[in-house]
Amino acid sequence: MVGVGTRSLRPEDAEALIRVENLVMEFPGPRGAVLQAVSDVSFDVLEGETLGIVGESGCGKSTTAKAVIQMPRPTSGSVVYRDADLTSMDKETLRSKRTDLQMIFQDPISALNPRRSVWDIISEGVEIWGTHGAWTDARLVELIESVGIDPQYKDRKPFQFSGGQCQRISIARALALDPRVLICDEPVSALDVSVQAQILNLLDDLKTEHDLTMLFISHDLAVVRNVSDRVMVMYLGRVAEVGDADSIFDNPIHPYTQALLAAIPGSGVVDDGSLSGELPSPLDPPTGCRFHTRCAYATEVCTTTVPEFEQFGPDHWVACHNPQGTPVTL
Amino acid sequence: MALLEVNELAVTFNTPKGPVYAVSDVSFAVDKGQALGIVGESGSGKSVTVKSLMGLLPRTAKIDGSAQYEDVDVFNMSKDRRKHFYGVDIAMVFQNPMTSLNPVKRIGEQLMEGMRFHRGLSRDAAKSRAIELLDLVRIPDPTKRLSQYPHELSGGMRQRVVIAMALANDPALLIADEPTTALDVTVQRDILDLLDSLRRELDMALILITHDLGVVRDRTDSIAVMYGGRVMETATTEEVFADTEHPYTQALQRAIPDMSMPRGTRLDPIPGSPPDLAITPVSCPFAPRCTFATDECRTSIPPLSAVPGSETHRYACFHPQGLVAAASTVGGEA
Amino acid sequence: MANAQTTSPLLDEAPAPNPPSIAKQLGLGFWLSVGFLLTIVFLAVFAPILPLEDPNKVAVGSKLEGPRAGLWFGADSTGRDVFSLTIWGARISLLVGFLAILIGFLVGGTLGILSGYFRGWFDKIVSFAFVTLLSFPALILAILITTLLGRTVFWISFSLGILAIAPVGRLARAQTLVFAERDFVTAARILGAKDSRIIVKELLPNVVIPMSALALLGMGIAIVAEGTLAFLGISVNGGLSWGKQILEAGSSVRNLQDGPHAALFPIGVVFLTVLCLNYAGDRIREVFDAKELAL
Repeated sequence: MVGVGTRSLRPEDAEALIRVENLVMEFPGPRGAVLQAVSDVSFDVLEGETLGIVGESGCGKSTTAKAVIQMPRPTSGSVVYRDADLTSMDKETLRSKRTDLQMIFQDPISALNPRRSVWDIISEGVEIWGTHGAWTDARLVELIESVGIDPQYKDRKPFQFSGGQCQRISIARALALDPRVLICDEPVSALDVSVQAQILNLLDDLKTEHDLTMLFISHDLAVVRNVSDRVMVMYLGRVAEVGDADSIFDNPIHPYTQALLAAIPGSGVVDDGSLSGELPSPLDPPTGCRFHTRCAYATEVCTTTVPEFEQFGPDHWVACHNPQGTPVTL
Repeated sequence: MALLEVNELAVTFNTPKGPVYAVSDVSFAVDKGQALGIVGESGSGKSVTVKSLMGLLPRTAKIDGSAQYEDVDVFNMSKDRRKHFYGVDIAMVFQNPMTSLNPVKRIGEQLMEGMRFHRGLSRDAAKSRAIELLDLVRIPDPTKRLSQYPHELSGGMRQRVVIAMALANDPALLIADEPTTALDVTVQRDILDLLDSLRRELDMALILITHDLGVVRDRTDSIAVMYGGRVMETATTEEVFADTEHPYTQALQRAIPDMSMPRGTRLDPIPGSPPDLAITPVSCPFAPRCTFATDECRTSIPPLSAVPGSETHRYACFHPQGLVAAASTVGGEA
Repeated sequence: MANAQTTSPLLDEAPAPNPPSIAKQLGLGFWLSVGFLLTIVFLAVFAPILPLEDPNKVAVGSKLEGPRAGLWFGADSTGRDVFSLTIWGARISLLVGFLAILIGFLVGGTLGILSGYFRGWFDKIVSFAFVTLLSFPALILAILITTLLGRTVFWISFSLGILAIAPVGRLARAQTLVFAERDFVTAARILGAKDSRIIVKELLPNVVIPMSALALLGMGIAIVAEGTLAFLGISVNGGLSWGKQILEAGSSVRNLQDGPHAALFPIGVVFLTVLCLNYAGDRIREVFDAKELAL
């Protein structure tokens, strides 16, 4: 969906862990304008899979992920987590239900309170809900160890740690309440190249160890390819292409996905100039397919009609009037 | 003959907590019209190196070594030469275009300022030159842009304006410090391509500073890989990728995922964090994180040695990986 | 394939050592200032039981007698002990300064943090109230309150405290706005922290430092302001204060010429007190700001 539609959703009986339908997120813009950050986006996440969300800045990928945990609550649409609609939940129910979905952030410095110790930060969740069952201090110490921080330093403050170590602390905090879903918002973008791989491998280990389902947001396609089972490519608040990661990366159908892949340094793909235009403003997005102003294949219909999803593989959905491949009917 | 030749550059900052050895023993050269990539992570000294060349370091910085630009001794210029050196002979483009642009001045004024100062152009002449420059950096509708303010442009357009400003006085060398880090992938490619084609069109030398090996791969003639304030490996771009000698350069390539890797491929991370530059350097800065480190690496600093048979390829390591591999193959066959 | 470094329990990497204690970072100047302030506070608090001359007793020394052993600051025009007057004056001056800033801190700080955190209509009202308070002529407000409600220690402190609300509140609001945007607040909310917990545990520790620095500066201003009020004839009924003492010693040009020490000593003490308050406040801000920068 640089178009719209819910066809890409898997059948209800596939038991999606998270099912997002027709999500809309709007913010007040300057002078009464409305910033359309996310416009009618639907997707699902099955238990145990990693869904990568990619796109340029301003495409709504972070906003979408945050809308899943109701930070803030979406303008309209529904987010169903395990049969419970988070969007219609009252504040108190949401507060306890939401502990199942945790998040790590791009900037490891901003993510940690500079005045609190590592121990205070990591035990915050258990402090709020009380130590009971498996939530014991001993387990928290194990958790600190499992992310690669020596527990003897638990009384140190965040500024004493390197960026990579701060990200580890942030991960430990997110895992303290045994979440089912971990939302990773550009978790390695702010880190040094030599440290990125440490964090990616750590996330991979923890995912197995804690049976996590992940939403992984990144602008770095190589990183997304490395971690994702499925991928969703977003453009200006809508979805262009979604489905199985291999299928999309090996055989991109949407002109936007193709352009994104071509832009990777060292990709060897010749730039066809399709992305030379400027990203339009989300305050006044183009009509029809939002990508038509920058698309090399745009035709008349693209300027007027929002494309619907069509299927291009067992799990490969594309919203485009002029797809660079042949649709299949299964 | 090299356009710019830097020899044994060392930059030390005296802080209240003691000296910080930001750059030590760095040498490189850029020929006319050539592109050099300086690759390194934060704290590698790559930015400090070029800032010292641009005269942008604070007074507390102690600079040793020499930098020769044509007939100019960069660190010991006369005041008059200096006035018309930066922005004329060497120009620079920074990471964040917003810090290079004055938010309350129109694009046109900002572009014309430098030309009028350095060349004494009339207002009309400067204006037509400004339009020419915006056209050169592929900004559509240049006349209209002159009266716009920076905030009215997108990030990519702003960086183009900054490049246009840098080109205003036809510099023979352009230094670009992470020019695309703050930009989107799609825009990133456009800007890098632009720099590359401008360099060819204007026969200008380019120093491209980045943390991303992929960025320099297709766009530079030679590469210097820096770590902990030192040059680890320097060679032509081809040599670096075809025959990597330094374990750090190797580790850097392996640590980043790449589109050709199947999903879920385990990465080879470099353990630990970048070094603390406050410690007096007595060892290879990469030794604490290096798989091949021996006692020798921990007690002495490896000098920059040449790869046999190459005039351009040099490395600072006691365990050069390419050479070791070659030697073991030869040994096995014998 | 599997890399020992990330899967092994511990990374061979220690965080930066603990920085020198805050006490050490604050430095000698800070502690000298605090020492001076504590001495004044101690003398003021225990004035009744210290071996001091009765400040109201006249003819302890001769008229405008200069300083000598036993009469450290000399005597004023009625022969009262200037040292004793200064110590007793400190009781009210310090109390007024402290109470005024306490009101500003509690009311302004609370309103500022709440409006910065919750935003919306509450923020609009509070911000408007702050601007209104700042635009109101300070002196007239103080005169109004004290004339209507009485020249007691409490109402004088109250009138000065009202003036402190807006500056403290605006600082608290601005700081809260900055920190409420940080990801650690989002993280706390996802973990299930309620608004009250976020304000107390996450925001307050960050906001209270710059507020304390401002409070110390504000206390100095309040002490001087009390002196100014004294010159306008609005001072504590009956009691002694620095402002009142300086006014009495300095009101006659003749006396000022004959025995300037009667005015200069209390002025010096006020000056040192305010200087120490300002310096201590500045140091706190510097030390904690530097820590922020190190992040």
